[in-house]
Amino acid sequence: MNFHALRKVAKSNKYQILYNRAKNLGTIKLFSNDVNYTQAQIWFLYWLEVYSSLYTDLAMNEKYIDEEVIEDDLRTDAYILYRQEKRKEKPKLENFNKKKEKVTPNNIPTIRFRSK
Amino acid sequence: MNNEQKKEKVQVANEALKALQEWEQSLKAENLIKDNTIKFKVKDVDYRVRLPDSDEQQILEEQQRRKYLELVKDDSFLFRKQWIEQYKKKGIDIDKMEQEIKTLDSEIKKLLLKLAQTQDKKGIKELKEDINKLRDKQYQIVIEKTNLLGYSIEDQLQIHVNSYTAFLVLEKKVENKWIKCFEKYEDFMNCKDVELINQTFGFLNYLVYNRE
Repeated sequence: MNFHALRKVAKSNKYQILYNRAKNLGTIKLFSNDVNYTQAQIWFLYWLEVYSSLYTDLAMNEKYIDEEVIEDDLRTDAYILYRQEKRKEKPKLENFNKKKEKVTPNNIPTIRFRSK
Repeated sequence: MNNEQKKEKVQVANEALKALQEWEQSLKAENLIKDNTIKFKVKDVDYRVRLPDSDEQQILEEQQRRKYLELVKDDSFLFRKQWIEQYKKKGIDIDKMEQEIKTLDSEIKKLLLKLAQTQDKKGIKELKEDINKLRDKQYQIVIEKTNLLGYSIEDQLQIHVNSYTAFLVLEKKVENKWIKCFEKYEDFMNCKDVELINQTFGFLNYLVYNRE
């Protein structure tokens, strides 16, 4: 048994539907136990969430994601890393644009007085 | 039936077998997560491992403390840092190994980012092969480092805690009731059933520890 099998179950239609219903309704139980989750269950919950977000990306026609990527564990890992890097870049770009807006409010050029 | 047809039949049979194996693996995975116990069979006897309860957690903490004291008092046991110094004198640089693991990690990340943006089949195949080679190389170094530090106080302590956990949570089914498999820790340690011990540690890994 390895984690490939756990990921395969997490991305299956059956568990993705169960997970989304459980998330929305909060009444569907994924496991028999309500508390004291095992590490395997915690990993499984993590992969359910990851694959759910990947299917959302797929539906949104995001770049570099398709069914073949989701079927392949290594390509999925690569896509997740790529998405993380892109998300890290986003706030940097937003901050840069905000600073740019501050420098030139109302498009009036800033005047700097030089001291002698 | 000509050769071409035979080949095709073998291919179909292989694919069916692969699908069957994957299905079996999926069933095992489902069994692994349905509750916080894992049931298994060894030589027709039903066994299970479960999460330690709060009383058992306390016992484990006490065991950890006692074993730690015992190891610290014994001069033949060294801490990881001391082992690293000892190895350095013999020309084995563990710090360098750790650095190598980190360097390989960043190389793997670079290739993964490239893989994510590659769409041609040849490029994907080559990148996957390169990543797997680097991962294998990294794994070899991790194993070597683990073996070198296996006698350290930290590692010996972890081994003791793992064994004691296994002793506490391994149960067998007798007349439809789950009972403790071993009465005493010594009985568990002296158990000669390699299959039972290996399965117990294997499944315990999925229950308690955060390792893939």
